[in-house]
Amino acid sequence: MNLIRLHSEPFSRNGNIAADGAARLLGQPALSPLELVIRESIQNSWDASLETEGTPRYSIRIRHLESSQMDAMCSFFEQLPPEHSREPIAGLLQRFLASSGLVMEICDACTQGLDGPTSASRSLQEGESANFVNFIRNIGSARDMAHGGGTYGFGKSSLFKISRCQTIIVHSVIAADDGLEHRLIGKALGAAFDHDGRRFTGRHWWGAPSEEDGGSVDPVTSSQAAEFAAALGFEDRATREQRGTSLMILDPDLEEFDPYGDFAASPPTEIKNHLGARLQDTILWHCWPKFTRRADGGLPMECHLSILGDAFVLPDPATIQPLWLMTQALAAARAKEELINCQRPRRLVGFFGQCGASIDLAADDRFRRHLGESALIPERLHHVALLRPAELVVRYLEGSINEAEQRQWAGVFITDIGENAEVEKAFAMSEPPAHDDWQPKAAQALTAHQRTYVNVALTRIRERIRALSGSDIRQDRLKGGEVRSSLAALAGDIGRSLIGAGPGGADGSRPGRGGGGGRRAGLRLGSPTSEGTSLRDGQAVAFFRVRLTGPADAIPSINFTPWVQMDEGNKDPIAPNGKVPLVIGVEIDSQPIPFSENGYVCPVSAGGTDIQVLVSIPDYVAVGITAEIVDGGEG
Amino acid sequence: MSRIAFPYPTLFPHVRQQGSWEASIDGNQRLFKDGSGSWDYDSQLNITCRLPWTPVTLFEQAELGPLLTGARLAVVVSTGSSEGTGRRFVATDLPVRDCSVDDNGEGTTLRISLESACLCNRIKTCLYIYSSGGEIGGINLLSGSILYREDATLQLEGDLGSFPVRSLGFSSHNLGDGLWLVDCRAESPEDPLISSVTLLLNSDQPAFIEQLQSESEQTGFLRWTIRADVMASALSWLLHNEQLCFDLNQDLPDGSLGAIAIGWLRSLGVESKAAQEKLSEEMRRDPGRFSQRCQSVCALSAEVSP
Repeated sequence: MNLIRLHSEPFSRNGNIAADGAARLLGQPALSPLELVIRESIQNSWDASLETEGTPRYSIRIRHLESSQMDAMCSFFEQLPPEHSREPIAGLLQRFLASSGLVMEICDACTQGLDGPTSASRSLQEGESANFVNFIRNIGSARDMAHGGGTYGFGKSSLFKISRCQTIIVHSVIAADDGLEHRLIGKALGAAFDHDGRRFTGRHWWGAPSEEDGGSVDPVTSSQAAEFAAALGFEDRATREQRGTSLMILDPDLEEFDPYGDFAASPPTEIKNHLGARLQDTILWHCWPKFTRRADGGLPMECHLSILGDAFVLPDPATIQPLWLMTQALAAARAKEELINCQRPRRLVGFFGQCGASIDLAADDRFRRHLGESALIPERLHHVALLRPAELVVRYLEGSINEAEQRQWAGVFITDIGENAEVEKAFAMSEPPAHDDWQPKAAQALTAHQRTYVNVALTRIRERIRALSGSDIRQDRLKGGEVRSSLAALAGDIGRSLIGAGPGGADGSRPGRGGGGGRRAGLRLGSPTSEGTSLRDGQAVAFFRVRLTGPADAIPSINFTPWVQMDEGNKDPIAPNGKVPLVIGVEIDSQPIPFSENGYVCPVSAGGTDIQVLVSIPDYVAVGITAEIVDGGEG
Repeated sequence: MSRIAFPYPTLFPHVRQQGSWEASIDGNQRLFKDGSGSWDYDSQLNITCRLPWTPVTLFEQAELGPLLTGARLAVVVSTGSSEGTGRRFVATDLPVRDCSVDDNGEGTTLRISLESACLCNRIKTCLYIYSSGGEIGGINLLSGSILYREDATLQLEGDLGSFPVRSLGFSSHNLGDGLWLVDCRAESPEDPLISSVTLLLNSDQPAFIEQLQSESEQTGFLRWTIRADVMASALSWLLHNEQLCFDLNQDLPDGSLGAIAIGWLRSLGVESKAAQEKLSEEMRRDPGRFSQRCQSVCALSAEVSP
């Protein structure tokens, strides 16, 4: 008796998301369906391996179902959605069941499988996984996993998109108390439809009738699941190391098998080689870090490919020209040699590594030979790969070949995790559902600081790209012997026109000074000036002249204070030998001026008076005087 | 003239007029007191000091003839914003007797070439005449005794706004060909304009740069075109760069990219957030009209056509 039942999801009174709407949640990524499937599935496998021991194994098997397997498939899909509705799934599956049964099986092993409860309405125990319900039942569940590659969980819709009948069968083997538990379930994403007065979302599951909800299905489990999986030709999973998940994509949309496409008349060998090259090229270009050995020699992930029964080995990225540049850059970034910091707020946001080589190195043509210009791995690299700590390529930022130095180059940026994973979350949340970009502007959930982390990282990476491309125009260096002419006059003209005042040239003006004060109205003393030095009676004497102007009837008293000029510019009353400079005479027109109680009384003559002040020089020093009117003596 | 007296006879009392200090910056002659006008680290800078006396006659007047043979003349240049942080070097040091006398026989002219790349802010030139020692009127002079000193200051950098302009070989920087490029990069509208926007002239096209430099600010069509393009490019970049989050109503530091842009926007009649968004839309939908509006604003100083 066939245990498999179909459950087509009806809309609830409160509404649901329709299947065609769910399929659109991925947005409009720039990648092809195959690229999306490979990126999404490797990311899922990696996340599923984080809590298991051993090296996870990822594999793709493309094959035609054998006759017995096709019989099992027909049995699995014995129940189909109603044909007379607008739902396309029934017709598509019938066409598949009548075809040669092409399937693409994506498997992982040494991973934890789709564990946890099988009902989405059941609450989770602490520490319990929700892998099954998140993958099989829910739409867009957040997977907030440290070092994980995914966040939204919308990417799984790519699996249905690449299936011409929008259907997959999932076989997962998980750890159970008594050993291993097999789970087998089918799922399709069709289109909303009406049937018997009810409206359905277009989401369909094939499994064992559920004991909980009327009409719903659960995965087939235990030996029945294992037997059905074996009958369908799923990979054998009998040991703990073989735990993991197999996703069988029915009738995958691959150009090599398009009956009306370029390969319609091609021999099987050519089809296999082309598809093998395409899978290898795609896996390597999008996921090479996962297959690049760490410094300790360990491999993050293994990969096996099988196409129509032939095995294809995924080459080591370090052996492919020019991909090896990326592996070198990755090693530098993993070693955390170059830090990328955000200044405001101060935070480490990631690590950068780079590697360059001559552009004359011949590119490896093993994929290009089959794929031509559609190959993803470029012949020459001028790219920076953006990675989060899970080391899955989010995207590449492109620069250009450094023509001046005739060099190609590769760079790798890995985000830091940061305290409480704040930095990594910033990058994760800035990714669109396809995880193929960082778009901080579009991510509304980011805090201002988190948005800054991503923006700063992208800015710094672009600066490095300019430098590596030889187009860092801000770091220009003159070549030997080259003389650059000044553009100051032009800069000044444009600056004055566009900026007005600001940093730039000078017109000699200085900030205005405050008005002088303290002078007596009418009476003015000029600054003393030196008139020379000579010996008088063996004593070095300095002569100063001070000009006095003012009303002709004024007879002011003036004080003269001599000082010694020190090296530091200070004025000191005492010379280094302990002696002091003295005013030894004040004269006007060679006539001595008497010293009164208030100072030297100096009459002002019409046109001004020149006062000569004689100062003894006590040592081999320079001396000066300060002149001050102490009594105006105005009549 | 000196305000201090040395313990020996000097030339100070006999110098009635200081020298006239002039600078030639990229061929433009300016008195020190008038500042540099426009100067940058690539400028050719020549200093001239015209002394209204000849050393020989001055020594004779000061009755210091016996010291003439050993006397030397030196010019010490200091540069930088302060004595403590600046740089000081001897630009010239020669025997006084080797100073050439002007053709009219009444003065002496000193000429010094300075490397602009080693200067900043201002230069202070200090002329010294000093003795190698001797005796005058019974007074001993030690070696190095200063007989005369005067100084002058040339302000190199001030507040005459200067726009960052550089020449660059476009081909060697993977930029292909072209005449100029307005390079914009900033992390915030608060960043200074002078480090955010640079006008790069293609040095692979020397005739273009030559023509640009020879044009007058008031009458040069090329300069007009470039001014307008700088404004249009910088505004487009600023308003379309979502990372910068530029807002017309922000308070921004003087001289910042954002503050200058606000001034430009006002000159375009944009004074509100709504008008800013309208202008952004015009930049996208009708870039030619936006470009012409910038030309119109920048035409103020170029309205007199040649």
